[in-house]
Amino acid sequence: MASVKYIEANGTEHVVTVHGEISAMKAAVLNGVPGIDGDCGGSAACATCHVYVDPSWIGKTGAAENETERTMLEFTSIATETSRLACQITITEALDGLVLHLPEQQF
Amino acid sequence: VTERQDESQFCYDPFSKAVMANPLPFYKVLRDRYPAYYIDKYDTFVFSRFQDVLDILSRGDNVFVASDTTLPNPGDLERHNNGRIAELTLDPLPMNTLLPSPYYEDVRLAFIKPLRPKSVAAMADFIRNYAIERLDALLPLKRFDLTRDYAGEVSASVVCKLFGLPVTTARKVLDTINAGTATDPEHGGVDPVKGAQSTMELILPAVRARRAAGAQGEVPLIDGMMHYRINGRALADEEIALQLLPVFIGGTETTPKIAANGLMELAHHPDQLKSVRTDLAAHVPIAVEEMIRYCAPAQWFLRTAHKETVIAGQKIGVGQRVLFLYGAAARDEREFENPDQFIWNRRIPRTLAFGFGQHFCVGVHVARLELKIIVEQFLRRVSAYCFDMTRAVRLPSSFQWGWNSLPVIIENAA
Repeated sequence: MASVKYIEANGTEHVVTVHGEISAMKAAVLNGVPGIDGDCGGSAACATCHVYVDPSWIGKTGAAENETERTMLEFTSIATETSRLACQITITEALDGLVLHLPEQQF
Repeated sequence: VTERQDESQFCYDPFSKAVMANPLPFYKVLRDRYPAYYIDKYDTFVFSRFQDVLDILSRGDNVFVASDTTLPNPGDLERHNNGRIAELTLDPLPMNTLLPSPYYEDVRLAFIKPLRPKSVAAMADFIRNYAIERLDALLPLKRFDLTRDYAGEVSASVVCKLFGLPVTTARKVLDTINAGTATDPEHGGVDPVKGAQSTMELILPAVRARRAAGAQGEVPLIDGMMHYRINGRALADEEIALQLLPVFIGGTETTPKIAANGLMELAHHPDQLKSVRTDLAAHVPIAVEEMIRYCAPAQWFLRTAHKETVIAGQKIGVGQRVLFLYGAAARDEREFENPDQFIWNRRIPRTLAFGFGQHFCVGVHVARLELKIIVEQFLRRVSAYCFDMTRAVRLPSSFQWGWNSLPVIIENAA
């Protein structure tokens, strides 16, 4: 079990408890967190689950290293070095307390 | 088909009468013995295991494209490509389900705004109120068709709202789509004229009305397509209607079967129903995921290989087709423990019920919301119910195989 905090661009916080190992995209969608769309179902093919990993957590989640993920992030004009696709972050107990910031909108 | 059947006798054809009547025994044999089953007369490979289906759908770079259509009739498959791929033409624009990248993604972006989670969440009150209205009208009857009269009308009302049509046309929308998508019980497949045209006749007036009104975004599904350009060209009304046809049909013919079938499974497992009832708000969303796995009616889709590739160790040549069985993947023992059992709170870490990858179901968020509301409202209002299975109907189908009609008997309304 792990807890993930999603923070909207306007500061609204959503804390989701995750049971089992699922992606941060799926956890958000299943719990009604606004601002994560997941148009492709989690295959890194649409870039509509773009999040900014809180800098204090990027060491644990890792940066986007997979070429597919990096390519998709390039489609979003607002990507930074802590940008990830939430569908490519698997929530494990090691990520308990993870903080993800949401962009103003998915493109 | 039984496990004891001689291997040489086994024959899977998605359009055969036996498969259309009940494909599940065929799926087990395919998964266990023929994970890459070749149908010579269709030059098509059939994949039935969860991971193999996922691998096909995860393959990017336009390796697989639905250029031979995504839901073919037998005649479509009998025409072999012989290593050739038809050139893509964009004028008129083919239905987006057939489009490769990047064209599909561009079209999807044009109309998907009202189908995204935030917009869908805003429809919850509308859906809940409509479900309550339907139950107000139906429960006094004591007997009604759970698929059509309740779940079907709620789903159709959502489609009406998305298309800017009056909700009073929900029943007409539902009946037109059900008639148009009915499979030919003898030969399989769907009559393309009856299937698409009758539905297009419902969408086109909505498109024309939006054009006349200026399409400033009040009906974002249609208005978005009005502002879409393909190579600088605006689409004609008929092209817009065609692009939105999958939303219109998909939003109406799938969800009702899952909701009604799922409620039937709960009725047939009283211990599970009792557990779900202990906290409806918390448990229905969990049960809905199992309903989606166990009851989803879409059986398969098709893609054509545009580049040589390998799936499950099987080489697929250019022009050959892959037919991937969602219905078989959902009951793959390699993915799910006791897959033929309905278990309301089983772990479902992965699902293929909405597809995956480029053409992932655009209506996924609407479907999940509708299912939660339809199931929860029914269970809140009905404390005891059963089904008249002697009058239940599950039509033979090569595509949408599910309970078309489930007569429910209300034993006690809360």
